[in-house]
Amino acid sequence: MDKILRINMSGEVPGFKIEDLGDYEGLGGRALTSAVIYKEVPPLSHPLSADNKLVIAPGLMSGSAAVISGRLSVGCKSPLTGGIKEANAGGQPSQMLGKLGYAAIIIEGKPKSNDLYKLFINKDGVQMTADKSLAMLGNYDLIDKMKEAYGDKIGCMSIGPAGEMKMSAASIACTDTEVRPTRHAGRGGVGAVMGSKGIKVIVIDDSGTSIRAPKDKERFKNANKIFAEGLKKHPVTGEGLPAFGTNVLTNILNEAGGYPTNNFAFGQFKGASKISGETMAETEIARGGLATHGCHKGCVIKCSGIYNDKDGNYLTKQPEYETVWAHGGNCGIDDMDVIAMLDRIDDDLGLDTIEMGASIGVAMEAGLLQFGDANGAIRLLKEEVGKGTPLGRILGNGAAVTGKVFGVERVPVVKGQAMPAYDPRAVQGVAVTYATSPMGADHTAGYAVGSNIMGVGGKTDPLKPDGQVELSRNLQIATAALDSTGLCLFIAFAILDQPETFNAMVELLNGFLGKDFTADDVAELGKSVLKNERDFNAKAGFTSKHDRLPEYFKNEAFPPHNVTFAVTDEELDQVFNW
Amino acid sequence: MKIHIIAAESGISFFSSLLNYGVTVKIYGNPSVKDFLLKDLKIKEDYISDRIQTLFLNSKPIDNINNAFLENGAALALSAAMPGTAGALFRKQGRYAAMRKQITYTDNIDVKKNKKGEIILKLFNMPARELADIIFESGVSIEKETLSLFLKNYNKGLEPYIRSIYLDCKKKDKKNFFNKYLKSGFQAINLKATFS
Ligand code: SF4
Repeated sequence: MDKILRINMSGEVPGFKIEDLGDYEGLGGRALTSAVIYKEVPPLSHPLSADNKLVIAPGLMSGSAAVISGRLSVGCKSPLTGGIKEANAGGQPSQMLGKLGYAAIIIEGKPKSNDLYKLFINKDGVQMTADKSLAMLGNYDLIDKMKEAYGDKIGCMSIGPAGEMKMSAASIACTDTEVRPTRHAGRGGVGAVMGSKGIKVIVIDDSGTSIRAPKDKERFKNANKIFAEGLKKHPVTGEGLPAFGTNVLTNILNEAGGYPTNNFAFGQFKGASKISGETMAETEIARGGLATHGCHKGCVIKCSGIYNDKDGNYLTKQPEYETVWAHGGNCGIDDMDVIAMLDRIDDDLGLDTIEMGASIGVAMEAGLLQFGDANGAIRLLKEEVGKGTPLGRILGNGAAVTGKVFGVERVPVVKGQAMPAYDPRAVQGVAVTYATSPMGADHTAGYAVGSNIMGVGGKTDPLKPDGQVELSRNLQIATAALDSTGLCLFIAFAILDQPETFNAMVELLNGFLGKDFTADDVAELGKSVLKNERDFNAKAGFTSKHDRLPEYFKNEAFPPHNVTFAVTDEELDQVFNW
Repeated sequence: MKIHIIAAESGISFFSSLLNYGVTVKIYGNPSVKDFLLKDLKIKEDYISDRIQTLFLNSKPIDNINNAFLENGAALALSAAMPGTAGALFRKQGRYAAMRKQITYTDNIDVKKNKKGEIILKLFNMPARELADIIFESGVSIEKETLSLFLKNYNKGLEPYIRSIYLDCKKKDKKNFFNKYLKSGFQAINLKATFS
């Protein structure tokens, strides 16, 4: 990956050029998106203006034979938070862009007309075509149309109607191994930024390319083998995730009393067993779907699946834990088929499932509909958001806007972004990350990726009572580094528990790049990513006051444990003191 | 009333789902969680230490199973290691345990003393599948509400795996057995299942 495709949508006719990496040499994924945003986007610019940029960057090893290395980063100034954003997605596009040699696509400017463009990228170059017939198509119909035009060996990144309407919850869909638009760069409204650039779809065809060769073949091959074996032998990555998917967490969070129910009112949901990962896997198998499925070629964990309707017809991919929670327990809905339908509609309209579940939860709190009203939730999403009615536009701009419009106090957001499926009062260490991450409330920003063996922050006593701030800091650093490699975060447990698997991962990177990175270098990379992101946000007007949870988490005791959020502001301000 | 089911081994995963909902089992005295798993449920020691990585007693994550004690009415849940940050921090004695310190079970030997009692036992994910046979073979009690909720989700899936059913030692027709049974006035049933 030695080139950048820079597309300028301003001017009479949009144009593009292909550049060398220049200052961005050696960066990939989140490290690259955040570096470009930091360097090239005026922090005070409007997120939907010509000054903002949309950066799409495959991870450093994407397009190679490295297992599970096909994660993609999408960066911009977020219309949802007003700060920097990196949204991460699976699917095929990352591998394909890597094979075509692109370290990044940077889309800048803004078209003068209302034309909607499609981009076609293959080994021979780039074509940009205005195509009004694509306007307001849902992602599923759009991709069918692209397959008719370009065949079924393509990968696509696209926006649905929500992106065209520039809703702050709009996502960018990435197609999966079956060329379905099921994997989304979901968070922060990246789809609205793509919409503001007038781009509906990027079609990628990597035919005629080969996989990226490592610099040190033997070192890479050996490390890849040990790494893959390590993932397969670990009970989480080799058994739990493939068998049940991430939704295996429903029963666990519910049992722990940390499962936010009815818009974060209490921590246990009566219907949890009906929508758990265990129930979902049984249902999928019984209906001829799949409980084990990879979102991109080369994934050896395969945490996903295929969810069929009652008649055995494809409905959607296996919804993830956060989606099942957002549209399920958070809205008092315990019907798996309804949740799967909501997931399908989100994917089709191009919406972040977490943000939409949170918006609907807030709307329920406001009395627009009752908690548990499954048909009402489908109607809101399909008829209001999908059609862009005034109410739909309020909901589609996220939980914070919805709360403000309807006068709701209990709005679970940080920096304007909705919290995921872990209540901050029950799992306060995760809440430290929610509060302080430059991304807004984000459960993946401080993932348990084995910061200890990465050497980040030294050894922390697991049972030391005051370690939450330190742990959150270490995890955020380690996650920022991993997000830059293209490796999926779900490798976490295997590298956390098995030193040989962690070493194989570092060796894999070194064998591929022909470098001799140490764990310290990896930690330094993570710190530099966070520094760019924090500095950008500071220049955009963010202060320590934005690194806070909403007040009600400090005041409202959360059943069944009846605890409030107890980490002090002073402690939160220590997270980035390294 | 006691129900005994003879079921096909291939049906274990369907039966194991019942353990997600919670079943009632007897305890004698106030055993530690470790003793209960080892001596009462007869789970192998290395399975307890290696496979059961996440435990909750009355919704509180446990770090030390030797110092967590059961009392009448308690709820105990068992799981394998789980993914994600949440999985990492709920794990017993995990590196990230401090991140949920506010709800962690604190060693408490001051439990309400009882000679015998009952607890709700829940098993999730891999332990549910892997321990279903020994748990059901030793017999459990199930609340009517739990059974009815479970059957709503699984009834069709369950029946093909049942070879025969005995009610108080008398053989019964398996067709729609549970649905008919749910209409009777019981509050809880004692269920034993043997897999072959
Ligand atoms: S583990 Fe899951 S999310 Fe990660 S790459 Fe594989 S299928 Fe995609």
